[in-house]
Amino acid sequence: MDAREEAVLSVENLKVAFDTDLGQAEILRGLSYRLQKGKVLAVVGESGCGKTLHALSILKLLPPGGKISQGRILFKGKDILSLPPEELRQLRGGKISMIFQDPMTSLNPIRTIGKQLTETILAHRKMSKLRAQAKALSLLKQVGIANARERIKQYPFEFSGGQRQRIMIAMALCLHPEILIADEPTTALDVTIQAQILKLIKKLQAKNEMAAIFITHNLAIVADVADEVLVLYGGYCVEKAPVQALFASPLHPYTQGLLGSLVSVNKKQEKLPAIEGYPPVAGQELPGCPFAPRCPRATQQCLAQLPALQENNGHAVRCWHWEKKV
Amino acid sequence: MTAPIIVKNLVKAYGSTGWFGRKAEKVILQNISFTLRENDVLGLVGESGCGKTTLAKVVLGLEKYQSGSVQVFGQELKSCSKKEMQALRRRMQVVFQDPYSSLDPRQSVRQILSEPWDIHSLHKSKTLRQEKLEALMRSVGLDPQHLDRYPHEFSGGQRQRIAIARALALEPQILVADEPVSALDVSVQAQVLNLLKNICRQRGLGMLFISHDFAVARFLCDRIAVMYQGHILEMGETEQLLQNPQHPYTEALLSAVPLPDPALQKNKASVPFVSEPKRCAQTGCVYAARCNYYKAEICNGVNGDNLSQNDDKYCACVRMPFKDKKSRFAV
Repeated sequence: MDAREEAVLSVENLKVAFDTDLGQAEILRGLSYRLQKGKVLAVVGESGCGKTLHALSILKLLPPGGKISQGRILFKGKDILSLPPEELRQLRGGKISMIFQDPMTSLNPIRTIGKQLTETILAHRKMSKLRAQAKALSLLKQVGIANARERIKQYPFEFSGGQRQRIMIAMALCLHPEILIADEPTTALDVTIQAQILKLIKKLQAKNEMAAIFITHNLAIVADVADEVLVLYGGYCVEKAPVQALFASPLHPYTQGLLGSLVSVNKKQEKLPAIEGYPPVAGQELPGCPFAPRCPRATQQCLAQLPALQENNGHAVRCWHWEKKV
Repeated sequence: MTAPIIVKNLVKAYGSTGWFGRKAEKVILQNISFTLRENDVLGLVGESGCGKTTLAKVVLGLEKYQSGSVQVFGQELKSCSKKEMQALRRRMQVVFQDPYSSLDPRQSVRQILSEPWDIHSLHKSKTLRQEKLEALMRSVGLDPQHLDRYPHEFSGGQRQRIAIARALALEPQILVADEPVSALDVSVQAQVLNLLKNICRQRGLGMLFISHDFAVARFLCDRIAVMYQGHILEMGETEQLLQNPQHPYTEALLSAVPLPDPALQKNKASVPFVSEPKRCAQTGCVYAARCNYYKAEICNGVNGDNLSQNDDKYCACVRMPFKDKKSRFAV
């Protein structure tokens, strides 16, 4: 079979730009990848690198002022960007669903959890209200909400942050989507609840053969859930590799710095090898490699010219000097 | 000399008058005791809502407390006058979590950093101030030429450096840091952690460091206190506590920490963590409702807080199920 047919989602040269007072600012500058069925892709990057915008553009939910200036997003071979509104609506929540970053603000505060869950189900499936309610109940049990029969009648404020996030997950999973997009699903949560939620997503993902995109800045989560990792910096993909390869032998100096600067809980460290400098501001124009100003290996060439993404045995890197040892 | 901060049997509750004048009281801190010595970095680690920030506020004199004693540099906070409190604040400063909301957007860095001196009437001469400001900026790794910029012109990491510089302006002896790196990007977090460590070393500062992240605490702290629902459940030297946790809660928390290594992550043995109470909590151990090692006849009726308390090592569990077991973080 052709690799392209197998992929549930393929993103080709995606560019996203924003209108600003100073003209157009390009935030995402050409992103390409393929997501296979049942696999987990992690998109890693710091604030302003375009990782959230990339997720929003898959569902065509870009905030006002933002637009996809180039590229294609194919869901099972169909271009999402040219779908008519009705089909797009079917896709959102039905085939591709998303867990948003902030569980506090993404639930409707004046409707009960049960209403919100059944609403989602009824919007996509033809079934009686009663059956939808039963389904919502079983979902709440699946995500580990104790006493679900009582709690389904409660409002969001009656739940803790972790519970609300689990309700969001229940809502995202209720129609067995083929792709789950999780934007920093555990950032606001304690480690204990984070561990539970990751376990839950992994379990459901294995059961339903669902593909997932995890957007995060937490490399420990990446190590836990991902099959493939895509590292974004300054709007470019700077490295893309299977998870083992990335952690064992990162090629891009940014990835190396990122892994090196992690505070580790399993060893005692005296000083952290931090990356000097600060990440570029979103949309900042840079002629060369976006990482060059902070890079220990940077040369004149790096500052002037953008390196291409080169692939070797499934491990792609965007660097002029990736073969050099540091 | 006495230790800078001595807290004994502290109890703090938020009270409110409910419907029809009924009193509703929620106990936030229960029977907390610890000592922060000179040059010592003590980490307070726990889940959100366990009371670690409230504890820091009490120590800073920003919140009142019901009973117990909080002594800062030998002075009982409860009986401090306003003037005495201001003098104490010169020796004790704070860095907050979010550098986006803790700096006044209308003040330039120069104003932000010299405001503490205005309040305490220090360094009044213009040239001296300029010198001091420049030294301050350099000490936190910022360019002194940026003194007249405003907070919005800086990135998150730089802002947190400004917040640290402001805390250092009065040359305090104690720093209270409430999750100072949790809002920062990964690559910048390491810079700020290195900075905090250096500052504490060079200036001999004592620090009360609040965090939910064991990795950060291990890097920075000499000792760690693990908090749960307003109680300190375990306290000890960082390395000892991480390598050989005594309390079931500490063990459960540690087992939930994800490791940035796919190989280790795959074969980690996880302790089932219970977030919903398994059983109705009885009088006795606060953690009983979620504990994996609960035994009714032993755990009910025994309040861990009454176990012998030692400043350096403390565990509020009567059972101590893993006396000789090493954690997965043992070297």
